[in-house]
Amino acid sequence: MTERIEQQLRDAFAAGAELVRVEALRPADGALRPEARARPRKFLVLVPVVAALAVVVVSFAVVAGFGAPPPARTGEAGSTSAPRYLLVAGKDGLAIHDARDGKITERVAMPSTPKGITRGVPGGYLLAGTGRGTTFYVAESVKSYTTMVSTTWFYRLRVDDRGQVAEVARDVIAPVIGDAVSSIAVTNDGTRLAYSLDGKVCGKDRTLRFCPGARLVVVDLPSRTTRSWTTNAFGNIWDLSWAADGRTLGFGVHSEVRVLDTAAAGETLKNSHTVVRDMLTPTGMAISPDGRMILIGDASSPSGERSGRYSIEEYSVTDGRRIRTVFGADHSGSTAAQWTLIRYDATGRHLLIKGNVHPLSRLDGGRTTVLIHADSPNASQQEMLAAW
Amino acid sequence: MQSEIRNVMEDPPPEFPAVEPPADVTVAELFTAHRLSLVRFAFLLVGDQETAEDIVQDAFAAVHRRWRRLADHDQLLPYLRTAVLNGCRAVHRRRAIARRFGVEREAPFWSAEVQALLGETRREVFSAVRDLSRRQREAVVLRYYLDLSEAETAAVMGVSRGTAKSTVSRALRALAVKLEEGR
Repeated sequence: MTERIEQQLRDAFAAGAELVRVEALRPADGALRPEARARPRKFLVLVPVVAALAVVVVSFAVVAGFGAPPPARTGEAGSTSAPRYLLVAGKDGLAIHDARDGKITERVAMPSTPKGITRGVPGGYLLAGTGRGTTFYVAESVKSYTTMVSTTWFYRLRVDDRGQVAEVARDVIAPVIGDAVSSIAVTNDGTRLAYSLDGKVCGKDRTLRFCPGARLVVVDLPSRTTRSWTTNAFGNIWDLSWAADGRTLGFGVHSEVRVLDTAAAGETLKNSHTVVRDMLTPTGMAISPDGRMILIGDASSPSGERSGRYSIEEYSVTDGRRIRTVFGADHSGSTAAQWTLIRYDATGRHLLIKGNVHPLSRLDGGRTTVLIHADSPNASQQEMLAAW
Repeated sequence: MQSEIRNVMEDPPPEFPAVEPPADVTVAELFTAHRLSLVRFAFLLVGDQETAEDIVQDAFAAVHRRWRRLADHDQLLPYLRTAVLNGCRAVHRRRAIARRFGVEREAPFWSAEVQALLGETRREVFSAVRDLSRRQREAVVLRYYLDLSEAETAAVMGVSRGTAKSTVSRALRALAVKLEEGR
């Protein structure tokens, strides 16, 4: 008797449970229903009001501060000489290239890392340079097969005046464990390293699963002190770049281009200044060494007989006004153009640029020099990063 | 700083740091692996998929929120089951209060459409299960849907193993009587 009842229960429960179909479940990445919260006590209602007033005051102060962009340091950004060498990450790993003609001067053998899952460019490398073509930072993220936790190791490379690797220093900062690093930038003087983490920062009513967000970290290398900022904005932080003052950081988040004064108070990116909204993403962008301008990649897709246009536009940091087109070209075919790299050198007079339909090139005033041609065996245009 | 610079080409590769996967990784993996079964478990107790999904989502949120306070990260699934069960109990309490005020809404599970899908025999079983006490219902669902042992059932319900055993036993007797009556 009992066995029959047990069998009936198992059968009925299995059939009843089958009424919930996996495809009928709510999407896992949708917004979480806010939890019911206790009504705040009366005096607590005053707290958010006071906080809101404080935010208004602080925001005014921050915005006002941007009226006078930080001056570029003379001596460092004042040099007219272009960087001599580039560091390029491609299908064949890392290599030092001559910044004048793109020729490889030395392939870089990086220290080995544990086997795991790498992201993006082969090797999972991210590159940053001081803009002088001599000192580079490399971040390498590997996700463990067993724990599925990413570890990012940071290296510093120095290149001698013959384009040969002079030194490789490992663990210039402690490995970052957890989320993968998505972008890095180093100041012209090489003292501050910024990196961003894909990740999920959660508010009170959300779980990590449901609230994408990201984190920005700045490490002062001599003192090893760290500051971080978080954002709940959907999407990752991309294309970090420093102004020459070493405190103003440009970056993209979601579809916005923003500038952050890293010396100002605050732990979230709410206090950053939005320069341009509703950008095509992902795209290349870079803040100028003097901190006054931001370059942003723009592109339109080919339509029918009409070719597409891709360009680099210059915007004013102060008011987000578009100032001029720095570079522009047409392209045909079915591929939508996309900028993957825009980098100033330390002087602000030279640009390193690359897109999926544009080869790695340098831009000196109005002159463009292709450094690695698309048909070159070293090209692997879709997956290449470079820094100088 | 200068003294730290060295050539490291010949160094052996570093080991991955010995770390426990962070909360988001573990919770995300648990979510992927067990969300469906937990929603179905809650559905069998509350009879409403939307409510069941909310309960399960809240349970995962609670696990994440209390991550640091959870002593044993290897016991997350039992903890989740308990959280879901408590969520179901809370729903039943709210429904009982609503009934007292004359507000009653039949759970979608008992709609004619769903009952037709189940067939007559299963419908009788569910009807008999519905007449069990709350604790007996929970015990049989844990035991015969999730296939938990007596000890696991007891742990999720927060009672002793003996209590779980006797609860299931009494539930089976009641069901036998009920189902025999219906024949």
